[in-house]
Amino acid sequence: MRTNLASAPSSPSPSRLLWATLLCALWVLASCTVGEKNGGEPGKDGLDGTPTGPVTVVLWHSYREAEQVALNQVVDQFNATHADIKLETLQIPHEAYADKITTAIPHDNGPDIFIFAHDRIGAWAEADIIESVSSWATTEHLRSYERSTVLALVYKKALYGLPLAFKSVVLFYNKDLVPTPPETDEDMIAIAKANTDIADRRYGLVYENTQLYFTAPFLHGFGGAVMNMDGDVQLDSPESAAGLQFCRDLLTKHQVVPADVNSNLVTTLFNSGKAAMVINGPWFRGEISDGVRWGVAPLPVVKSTGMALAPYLGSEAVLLSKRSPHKAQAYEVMQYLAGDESAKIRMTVGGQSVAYKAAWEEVEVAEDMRVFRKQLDHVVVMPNSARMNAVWGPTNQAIHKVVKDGEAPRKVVAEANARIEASLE
Amino acid sequence: MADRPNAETHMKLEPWAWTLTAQLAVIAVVVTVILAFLVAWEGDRSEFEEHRALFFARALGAVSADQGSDVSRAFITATAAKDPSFLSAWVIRDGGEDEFGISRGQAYDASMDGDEVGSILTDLTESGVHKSRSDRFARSTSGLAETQKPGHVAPYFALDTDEESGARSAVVPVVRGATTFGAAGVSVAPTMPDAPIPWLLLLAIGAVVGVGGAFGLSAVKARPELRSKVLVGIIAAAVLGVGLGGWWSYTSSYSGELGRRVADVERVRDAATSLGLDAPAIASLLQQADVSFTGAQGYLTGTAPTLDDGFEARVQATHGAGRRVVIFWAALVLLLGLAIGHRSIVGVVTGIPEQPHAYLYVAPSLIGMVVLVFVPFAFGVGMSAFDNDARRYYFVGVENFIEILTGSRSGDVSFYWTLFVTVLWTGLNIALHVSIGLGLALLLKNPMLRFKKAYRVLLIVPWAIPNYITALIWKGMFNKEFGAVNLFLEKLQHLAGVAEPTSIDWLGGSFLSAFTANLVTNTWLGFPFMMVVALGALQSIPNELYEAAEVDGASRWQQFQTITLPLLKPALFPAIILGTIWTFNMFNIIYLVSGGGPNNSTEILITDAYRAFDVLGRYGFAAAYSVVIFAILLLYTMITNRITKATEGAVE
Amino acid sequence: MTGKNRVGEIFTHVFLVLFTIVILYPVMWVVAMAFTPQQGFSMSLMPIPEEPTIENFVYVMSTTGSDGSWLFGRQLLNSLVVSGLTTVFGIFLACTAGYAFSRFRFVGRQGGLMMFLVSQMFPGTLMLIPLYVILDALGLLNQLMGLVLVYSTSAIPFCVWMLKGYFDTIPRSLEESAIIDGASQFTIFWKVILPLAKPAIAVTALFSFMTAWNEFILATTFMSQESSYTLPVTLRNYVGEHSTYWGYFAAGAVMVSVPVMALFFALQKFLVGGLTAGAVKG
Repeated sequence: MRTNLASAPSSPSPSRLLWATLLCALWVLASCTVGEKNGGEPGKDGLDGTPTGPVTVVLWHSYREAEQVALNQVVDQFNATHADIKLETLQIPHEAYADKITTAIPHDNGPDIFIFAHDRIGAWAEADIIESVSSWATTEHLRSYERSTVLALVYKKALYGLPLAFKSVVLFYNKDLVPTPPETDEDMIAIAKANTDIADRRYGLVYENTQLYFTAPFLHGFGGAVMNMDGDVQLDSPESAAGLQFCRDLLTKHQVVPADVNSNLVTTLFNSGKAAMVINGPWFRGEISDGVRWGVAPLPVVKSTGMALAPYLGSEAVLLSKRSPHKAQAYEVMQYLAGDESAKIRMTVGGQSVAYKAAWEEVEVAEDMRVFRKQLDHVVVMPNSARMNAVWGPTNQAIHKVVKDGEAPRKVVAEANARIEASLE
Repeated sequence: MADRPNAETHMKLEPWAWTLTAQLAVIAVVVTVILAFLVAWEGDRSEFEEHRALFFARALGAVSADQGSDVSRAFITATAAKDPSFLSAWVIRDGGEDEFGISRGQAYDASMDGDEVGSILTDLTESGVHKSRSDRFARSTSGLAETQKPGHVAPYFALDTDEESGARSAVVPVVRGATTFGAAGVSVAPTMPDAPIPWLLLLAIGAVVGVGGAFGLSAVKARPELRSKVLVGIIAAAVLGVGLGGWWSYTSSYSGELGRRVADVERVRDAATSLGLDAPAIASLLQQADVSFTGAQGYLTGTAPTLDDGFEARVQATHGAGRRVVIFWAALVLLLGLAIGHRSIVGVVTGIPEQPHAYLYVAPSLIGMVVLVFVPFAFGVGMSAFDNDARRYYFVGVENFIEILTGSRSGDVSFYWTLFVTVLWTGLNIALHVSIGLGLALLLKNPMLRFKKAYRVLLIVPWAIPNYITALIWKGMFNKEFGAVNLFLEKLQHLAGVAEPTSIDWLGGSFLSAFTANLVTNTWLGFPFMMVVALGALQSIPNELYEAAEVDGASRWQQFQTITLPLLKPALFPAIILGTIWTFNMFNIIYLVSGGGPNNSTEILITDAYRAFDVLGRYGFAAAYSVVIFAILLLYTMITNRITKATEGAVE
Repeated sequence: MTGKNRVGEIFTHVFLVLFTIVILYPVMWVVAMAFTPQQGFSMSLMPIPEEPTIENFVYVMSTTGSDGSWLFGRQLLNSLVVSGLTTVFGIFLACTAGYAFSRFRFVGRQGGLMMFLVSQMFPGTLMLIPLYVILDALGLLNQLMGLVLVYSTSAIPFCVWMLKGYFDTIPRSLEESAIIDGASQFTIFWKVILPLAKPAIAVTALFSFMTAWNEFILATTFMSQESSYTLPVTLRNYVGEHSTYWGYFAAGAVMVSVPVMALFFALQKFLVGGLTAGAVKG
């Protein structure tokens, strides 16, 4: 039983050399091709604390496409006009963005300023991740922005950022199927019924009917609410129940909405002409295919209560990191980003609904953009308290139970209310 | 050298089986325990410093509210200005809010640096200090409305720690008459010592003695049978010493604490007396200030305080308990580790010089793993004894675990249902992956089959494509009305002549339908891996065995049973065991496809844990959950290991 | 006999073809979306794009950074480097460790094996922050090597177990006769054992590569410059808060799977190696 060692396969030297070289090359590449150690830190001052040369301010964002192009233009313009501050940006995929902020900033590896929606301000303020800017932003200056966008950034009597743009859902409609958009909920149901043919899989109104974000307008339209800005849970009320019942009726009584909706379905149906009306936000404009003639209108008014269907308002703002070593300069950048010049570019190139009021008068604005601004008259600012986090899960479940399972709304909202409060203990 | 070198050593099984595990486990646990202890100690010290800050802040607030601005300024001079541990003391008058609800126009009513009195905070140029004070004031006074609900007593507005200096700041409301005048704040530097050095020193000494004793003893080799006994004795002594040392430092610090509190109360009383306040005013002042010092305060002012529910009560309840528990736990675990590994500890020394290359081969991977996997987990285990709200951590002992095992956190489903779903999910997945993967591998290993390569490459695609997009495509396919699955079933039903085809609401209908959707998606994603492993494993079976069996007249099935299966086991088992572990913790698919619905019924343990982490920010709780998951998996592995003896080596 | 074999073979082919088509159906959707100019997500029964175009691929490949450099290329390089090194580490470290566990009896053998297994049981999703702290302390944030180390440690346990299991099936008699021939420990390992373990090495290579290639969360969190991002990060950019660019994402997904399939294709010949006649008999 002998192995013939001599005949055992032995690698020829040249290929071994090749592998070794490849290995070394990989190693070298890995070590050398990356930037400075733990790079991306907020810009540092000179040894004695006085700025030597331009101060670097780092801005993080998760903009893509047109918004990114607009932001880059603004950044270039800023850098061209400010010799003492150098503004750098880093783009981050949205999914990992919040985690990256909460991980990096406490370890001094975060940005100086960053652009984010306002709903996490409460949690981040408590966790000392963001810094308040009340002392720099005078009341006078704040009047140049849309009021509700500023209110969204106030947490416990302090201001935490400057508003850049706002978003909320509105009513999109197919102009070929809906000649004039509805003004009341009864009109809306009538139009929807006229456009629904279940056998043909066409629906009059399509929206994500199990998600709180898209169902909120109905809740608010009947006088209900989920949570106020102070963090009090307000779900348990006959008004909220009425709002949920309305959504259930849309599915079972009027039968104008599909049973199982996700965001992709909304887009698909609208683009294939099988959805007459859609409740969606400004991002939807980029998803509509060219063949569809579409329009937007503010959400209608509920005839029985006289209140408009009021969606949640999202205020996209630039926030200041608590660990930034150049807060004064960072605030200067923030003011520029939120200000006039930047707003004009962001609105025309980026298609954003900017918060800076004057920009709307100075620039040619498309009709549909004006509708988004009109919706501002009837919005509910999404609470920025950390307590809001606990609301989504139970409320979505409650909506699912009422709209899809048909349980009694009053009981369901009471249960959900109790569950939210229990999880906040 | 003998003709067959080291053959004897290769065959003899030395009883060092659990040495490495025991040692590393002990080290990991000790690290955890030290961490937990340090945090507990820091928590207790924090508590004392904070109450100190609160006490003086409340005193100042009471003076400002009852006696007015001038007396409050004098009070500051009498107490804070004389004590170097006071960093700042102030009363700020609320300037109201602007149209946006932002607090504006705050002005100093009293201050330790008298020259600030009357100035608006935001006008002052030393923007750092005054800005942060202004922010804290704004944040604090916004809590007043909330706390004026009936039955809710708010003892303070804010209680913060400055990270760099460790100073504690407390801010309390000042209410004059019916209106809120503003707030009073005090900031004190810590006066208690840092973590007790004697305790750590004792632990370090104990560890050194233990390990050094083991080395020394084995070097002696004189009386082998006594070795382990003496070692046990040394380590037990070290543990006892550690326990006693810890207890001693704890008690000494506690009694020190009591003394300090009494001194503080006396100082305030003396200052008030010197300001000319009468006895009833002094008593009222002390009662308002000393709301939570039940110990010293009961001695001096004799009133039962009202405690805030929530934070105050919990801190009180766990005062000192944390430390006691931690010390006993440390001793217990050390003794346990000893019981498991005492016989083996001595062997490490003799083991290493004999077989250096074995360790050399294994060490790099193990070191990397310890640093990058075990250390984070040690952190996690330590964290599991704590819970946190938005601002601070506090020690809760085993409360997290109790809450997990008895509560129904998702609302609709209990922990045990989620556990059942997880086990069911794992079992079904692995069964399907292995049977499909192995079946395909058997088909594709036939050397005579044409296009083998093409099939293999195509069948691996589900594994190759990023699972985010494919999981979402599957989710779309399971849509009730528009999904391909229902459309296909509808066509089938048409063919079968069913008049009104029913469509299943996969993701929202019932637990079974959603679970099936998840299962199908994950099976689709997971079988290529098993197929590849099986393909590799099948290569280890020499063809001659099959040829011999064929000559003997065995059928395909018999060949499979007697040759393939037994020989596949050693190569296939790693994939199965690890696959089980991975599937148990498979977060992505559940999250992307069914989202845990309907009504949390398809959640598995890891998604539930992640919600605590991500949504509620309860890191300690999430850490406790991971410990529970880990314990379940460990139990499972130990049982399977026993059954399959997978850790044994090559068989002849 | 041959007739029966041929019938069996035809059945096998038919089954395999049908099975493959069913399995690839969702993938056809991905490909269809990659070739569709719209950024929408279609839902129907037949995944055929109406007006196929390659503009999505062009768009994804021409991603440029904020300074105008070819970002896609840079990130592709980063991904290749990270995955390549992970594979190398994975194989190298796992082979040696697996061999030691299989052949030697030493202190802590079973304990060590258990440790590798146990390390996989810690839910990784909850260890992001401690891992971040450790890498920060080691100065490995924003360094590709940091990612390589983390990926390697998560891939190694499976590789060790797989290789150990495979080594277990190689009879000791081979080594013993090699020892008689006078070979050293290292030569035995390198020239006798390793070539016979090629199938297992191929599997572990593929596995290690895959572990690193598609990973997204750690890559995004640990890297703080776009020139250090890997491909999955760019890909995830197409998934937004409210809307996803499915066309680009699908095109990216297709492109990202190609190297994996290429690697598998290249490794296939090892998967069919193994104990050849003559090694055992005689």
